[in-house]
Amino acid sequence: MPVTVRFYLGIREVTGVKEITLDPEPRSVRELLLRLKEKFGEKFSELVLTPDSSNVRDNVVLMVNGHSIRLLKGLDTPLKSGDIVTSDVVEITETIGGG
Amino acid sequence: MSPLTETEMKRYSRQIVYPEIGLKGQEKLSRSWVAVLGIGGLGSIASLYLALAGVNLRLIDRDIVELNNLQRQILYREEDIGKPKATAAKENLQKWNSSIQIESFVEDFNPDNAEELIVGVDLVVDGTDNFEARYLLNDVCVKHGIPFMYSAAIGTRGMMSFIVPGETPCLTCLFTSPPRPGSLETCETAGVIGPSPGVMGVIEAAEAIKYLAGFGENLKNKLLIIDLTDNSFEVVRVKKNPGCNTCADRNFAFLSKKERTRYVVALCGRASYQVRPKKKLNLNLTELSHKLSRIPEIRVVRVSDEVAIMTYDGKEVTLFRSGRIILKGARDEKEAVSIASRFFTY
Repeated sequence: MPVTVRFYLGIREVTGVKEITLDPEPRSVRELLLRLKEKFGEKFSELVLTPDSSNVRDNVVLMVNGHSIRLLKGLDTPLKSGDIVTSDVVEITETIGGG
Repeated sequence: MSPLTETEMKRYSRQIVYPEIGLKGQEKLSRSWVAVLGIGGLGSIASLYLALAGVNLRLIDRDIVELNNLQRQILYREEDIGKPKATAAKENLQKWNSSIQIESFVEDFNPDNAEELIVGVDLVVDGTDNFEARYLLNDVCVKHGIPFMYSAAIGTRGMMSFIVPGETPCLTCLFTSPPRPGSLETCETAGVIGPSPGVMGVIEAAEAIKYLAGFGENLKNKLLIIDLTDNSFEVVRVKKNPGCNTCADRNFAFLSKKERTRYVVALCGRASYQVRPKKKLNLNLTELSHKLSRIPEIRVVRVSDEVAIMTYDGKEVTLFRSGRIILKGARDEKEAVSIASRFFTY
């Protein structure tokens, strides 16, 4: 099944699109981010990943089906590759703190 | 007999006529108490609409009104500059609606007073500008089962989620932990247009009215993301984390932080430091400023019962009755403490 990836706020500024689908589905978030880097360039990775690429940045929330990957397995969070019943939705946004 | 007076029936007639609210809904609104934590861009508009709707308010803010607030914080006017926000907000809101009850607290929200300030209200509106305060609020609300809204705005953007402990993801489920200080842009560094906190504050008020009067659907299990640049209003589905440290394990890390020892904090994005006494004081600021004005480096700018604004060596010093002091322009914590000690012993 393909995976749907949606971008919000500052992330969308770099991707220029609100949503894409990746088919075949990457096996993990790490692989997904590599594919997105190929598509949207280095600037995308700089915005989303920490400088050592070990995690998403502090001000970025990456959710797989509504769960932040920080509470799952981080970049190693698996995507349900080969699952034909449900498809994954990945959402990437910046966090906002002002008020 | 309705507990509403004839004047109240008239005042609220347009929302009583609204079928989902009616007399019953209005009675509920008029009985409700909402805490507004932080009365800046978000909090001033949210509290205005709630006051107009007849909701009783508990206003909490640690700051004073500054000129640069007036561009978006609609509760304040030029004559309020230098007044504590909670005090000015109460005064002004009471002019809009004198029939509601308003409590104001010119206080820093910290683990020592967080429960005392929040417990007892029906709902909390997030008007804070930082995640430290929000995570502390999350702890208090989850611990005591009080619904609250996470809401934030910057630039042309905003975010919101309605959090009901036990029913929806909490802040920890959503974002895990507060972003490191400095990793998020603030209104000071990134800028903000008035309508962004305006829109978010209005939606917060609508969410509160719906929740309190008991109709409609709240932003539960949803994260609203808006951007006024292209008028996008989008809703992301979010889920509770069954292994959440806060709402599943009931481990209230921010509330149990013994901040008593950490009495000096940097106020993010404002080049300011706050120093608070280990024990809350009740200073006579008029007397104290009079004494302090004899020290050559100190110039007293203005004094009221609640706050004294002074300059020390070119740095702006705001001293509150509780002994809390905000230093603008201090280099680091050490310098902040050393300046604060000139005023009295911390």
